[in-house]
Amino acid sequence: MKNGIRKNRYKDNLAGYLFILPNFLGVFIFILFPLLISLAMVFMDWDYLRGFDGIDWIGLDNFKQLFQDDYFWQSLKNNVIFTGVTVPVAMLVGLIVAVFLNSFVYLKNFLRVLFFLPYVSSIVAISVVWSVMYNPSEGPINQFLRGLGIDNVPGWLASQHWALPAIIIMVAWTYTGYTMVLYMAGIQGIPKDLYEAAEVDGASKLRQFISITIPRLKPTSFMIAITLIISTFQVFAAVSVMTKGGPLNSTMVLSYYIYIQAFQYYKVGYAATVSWALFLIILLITLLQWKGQKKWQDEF
Amino acid sequence: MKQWFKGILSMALAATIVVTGCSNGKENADSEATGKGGNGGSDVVDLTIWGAVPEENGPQTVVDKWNAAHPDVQVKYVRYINDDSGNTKLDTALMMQSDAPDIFFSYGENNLFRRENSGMTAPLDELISAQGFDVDGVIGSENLLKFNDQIHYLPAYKNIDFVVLNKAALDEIGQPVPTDWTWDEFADLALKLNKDGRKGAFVTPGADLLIGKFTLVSSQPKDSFYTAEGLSNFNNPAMKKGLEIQKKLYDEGAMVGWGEGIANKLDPANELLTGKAAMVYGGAWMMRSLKDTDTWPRDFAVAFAPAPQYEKGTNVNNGGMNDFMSINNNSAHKEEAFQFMSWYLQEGNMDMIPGGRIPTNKTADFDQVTQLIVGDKQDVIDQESLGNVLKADYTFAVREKATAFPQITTISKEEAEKYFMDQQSVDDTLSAMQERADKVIQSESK
Repeated sequence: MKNGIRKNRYKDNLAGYLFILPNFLGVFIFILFPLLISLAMVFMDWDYLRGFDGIDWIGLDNFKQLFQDDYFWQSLKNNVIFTGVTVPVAMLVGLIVAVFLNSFVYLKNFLRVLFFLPYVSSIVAISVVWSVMYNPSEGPINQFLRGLGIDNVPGWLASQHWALPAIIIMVAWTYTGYTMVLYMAGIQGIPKDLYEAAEVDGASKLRQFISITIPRLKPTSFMIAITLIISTFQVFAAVSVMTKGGPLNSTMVLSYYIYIQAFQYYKVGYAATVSWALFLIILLITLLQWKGQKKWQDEF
Repeated sequence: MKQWFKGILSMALAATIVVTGCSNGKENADSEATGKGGNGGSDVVDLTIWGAVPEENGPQTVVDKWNAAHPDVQVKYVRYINDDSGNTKLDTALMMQSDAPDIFFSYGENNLFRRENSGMTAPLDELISAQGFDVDGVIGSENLLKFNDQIHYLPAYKNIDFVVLNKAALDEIGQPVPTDWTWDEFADLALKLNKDGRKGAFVTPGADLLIGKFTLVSSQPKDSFYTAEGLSNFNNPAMKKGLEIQKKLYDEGAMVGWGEGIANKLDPANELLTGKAAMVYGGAWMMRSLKDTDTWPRDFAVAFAPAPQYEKGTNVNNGGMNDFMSINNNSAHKEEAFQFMSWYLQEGNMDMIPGGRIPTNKTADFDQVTQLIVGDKQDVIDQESLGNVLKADYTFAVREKATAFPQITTISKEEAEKYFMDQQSVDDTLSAMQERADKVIQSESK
């Protein structure tokens, strides 16, 4: 009797494993295996075009190089600036748009789709269009600025001071739709009676926003912050299409630097080292955020 | 615990089945392919060629002609894009032997050397003597660099760099088409041609086309970037002169700014043919666009001047042999592949000429080549000056050394960029270039 049950359970389990098998194989071949190889490559100097003969074990030399590599630090700095500006801007603008769309305007659905479109469009297509708009001498943005009477218009992608801000503006714009949709959902989850009670107490709309909406949206904000920080830290396509890291490396970011090392200089070992450094940095930031989250939740 | 183990086991089993399944398929395909070759040509042999010239600009005509004349050897042309990702795609195909070509074109020594070093190219000496291909008579042995004492490629295209000028703009200021000139004279002419709404000159900003490099090549055509000791040659008066001329042209507004040129990905043909620049530095590869009056309708003809020199008296050209044709070392049909190559180099590539690809064949008649290039576009192309530029006798740049070539190319661009954007003086630029490039070369040759 007992044996029969066991047999049945075994059968059930086998079916279960078979169901996850295709997916697991996919993960194993395309994610787990490359991941382990890349970890091994950290200790190699590998000219991969020569196959396995090209492997040269060099121990920790890649790390030594990493710490002396000005480009790595410059890229990291650009990454931090990029994320540090893009995420708050996208969140703030998204929140404001969400509040307005929720209560104050007509054509709500139409506008919501409009704001969300950039997020689901191809970043490559967006980058090409924005490159044209950023054209320093003939682009519409600078023509508009000149029309306003500004003589000293920015050089945008052609200038080392404006190239990074130009990309930040564009990327923040694409993420605004994403933050907006999440915030709208969050706002709809706030009980209406809180606002009614506040109204009875004579609180202004601004007061309600600051004292009810923002605190109630903390979990949403936290989720958005984590996902956006992770994804903006890996910015690649916009840089690759618009500036290729230039001018004067002012837009060089880690993921693009990894690409250059691996596919232009064929230094896959060093590229793997930089990728793992990037991974550790993102991991660290995320862990810190999780810690912070516990604190936040304690307040409630 | 036990179940966990069984689960892993079944997965491992499944994985083995999948993997062996794949490898079986490949082996079958391989044995099939060799079977065909072994039958002594009674079956049709399929050859694949990878090149970067678009099908409609010649390759399709070439391949069609060959296929019609050789029913037993059918050739298929596949186009790859000659940029970083396109070259990586070709490298990967050659390395993995999946859908790999039998014959492939490499563009630039850098790509060729990398493939030679990785053992992707087949040595050709045996095939050359077996099929009696006259290397000296057709290509010229002096135009070939051997690898491990063997020929691993044959060049199919003689790239000639030249300056293309707007003839109407020249006539406006009453200047003749330059024939023998230096970069100083280029700068003077650019300033004269400069007027409102039309820049005097355009040189594509980027790593490959610094005026400093042209002057450097002009002063030392062989391995311009390296000294005799193998270190970098950037801190050189010729480099300085070229960079200063380029900076002057930016500062005087005779060329679109460096940063703007890169950010907008400006293209020399487009700048010239839309009237935004009066003369551009280009080469034979531009002919396709220069003939295209549909994309760029225009009311002026273009004239051609040889590439300017560092000092008078030389006639160095930064072009040189290109379109390096190699056979895949793992190809099952090397003999047939070489038959095609030999035919292509001697007659097949005549159909590439209208697209602007000048043949390496020494016996080609250059008046005829010019005629083929110009075709029926005599109204927009000055045939006389083009003929002079094409048939002149040049000292071509030769690149034998290639230590850390991609890295030092990037370094020279980065440092020049700092100079052009007023971040450092020309002397600092030169010493920084030299110092950084030497460091990379040393760590690479260790």
